[in-house]
Amino acid sequence: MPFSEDDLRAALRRKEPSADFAAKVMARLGEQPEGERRATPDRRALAVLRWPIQVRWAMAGALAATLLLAAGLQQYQRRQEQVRAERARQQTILALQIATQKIDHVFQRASRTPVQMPVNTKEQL
Amino acid sequence: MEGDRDIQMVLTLRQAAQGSHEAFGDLVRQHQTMVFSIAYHFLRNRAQAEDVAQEVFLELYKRLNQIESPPHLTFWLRRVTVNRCIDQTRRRKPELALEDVAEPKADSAHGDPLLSRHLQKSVANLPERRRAIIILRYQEEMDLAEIAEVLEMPLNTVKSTLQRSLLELRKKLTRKLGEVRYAIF
Repeated sequence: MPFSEDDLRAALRRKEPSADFAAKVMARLGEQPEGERRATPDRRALAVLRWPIQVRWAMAGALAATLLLAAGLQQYQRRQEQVRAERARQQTILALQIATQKIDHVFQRASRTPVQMPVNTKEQL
Repeated sequence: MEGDRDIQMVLTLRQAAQGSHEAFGDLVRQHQTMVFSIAYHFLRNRAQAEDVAQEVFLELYKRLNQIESPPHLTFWLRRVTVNRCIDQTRRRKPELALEDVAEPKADSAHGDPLLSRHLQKSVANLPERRRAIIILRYQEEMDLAEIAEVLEMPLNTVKSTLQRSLLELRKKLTRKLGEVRYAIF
């Protein structure tokens, strides 16, 4: 049997819950312990203030130590990079010095050796 | 007028998020019909639908700080209600609901009561995802993109599933009403 979309809309129209529905929800909400009802970020943040003083100091100390460690690590990495860069610079200078010496050596040998002129075949004849 | 209502909704939402029970009660009253109706058409059992709807609102109370705006609230309620209904359907064994025994009152103002009743039953017997698509489309008048977002499904899947579901409903209804006619004549 064909049916239209309006028939579906009519069949699935909204229905009202019982008259005391909202009251039942609020009653069930009242039955739940406060802790289970909600965990908003504000209340979670405030929960820190309820920690014992020793725990708060320990947390602060741990946080400070972590920050110092992170800063130290960053400083160490930066120093290592500087050392690597300096080493690379020294190696480049050394390589250039060696190359210069080699070229000088080649020039010196070349200037000592007499130049042999090619034989003129016409004069021989 | 519409703008005033929106502002009022935003204020109510904010007050509820700050812990006002009165404001939360207002939110419940404003959305209870929508939430209950989705659950009712999904489960076709008044008591279970009320129970699921209550749980949805209790969950909402816990998550109020995550709700950004009134449209987000509606979206959240629809999604959570459908998911709770799917969970409920998987958990429960089918039981005979009062609604399956007899229609308490036929509302002739909304079309053919016999057709409506058969449509409701046929929808309630569809697989969960298909049922959810039909309910969100024809009860909540949501467009397909919104349904895809609520059900976390690709848009094309929603389109094809809706078409298949309508086809299946037509087939089922033809069979069912054919049997009724045969029994009468």
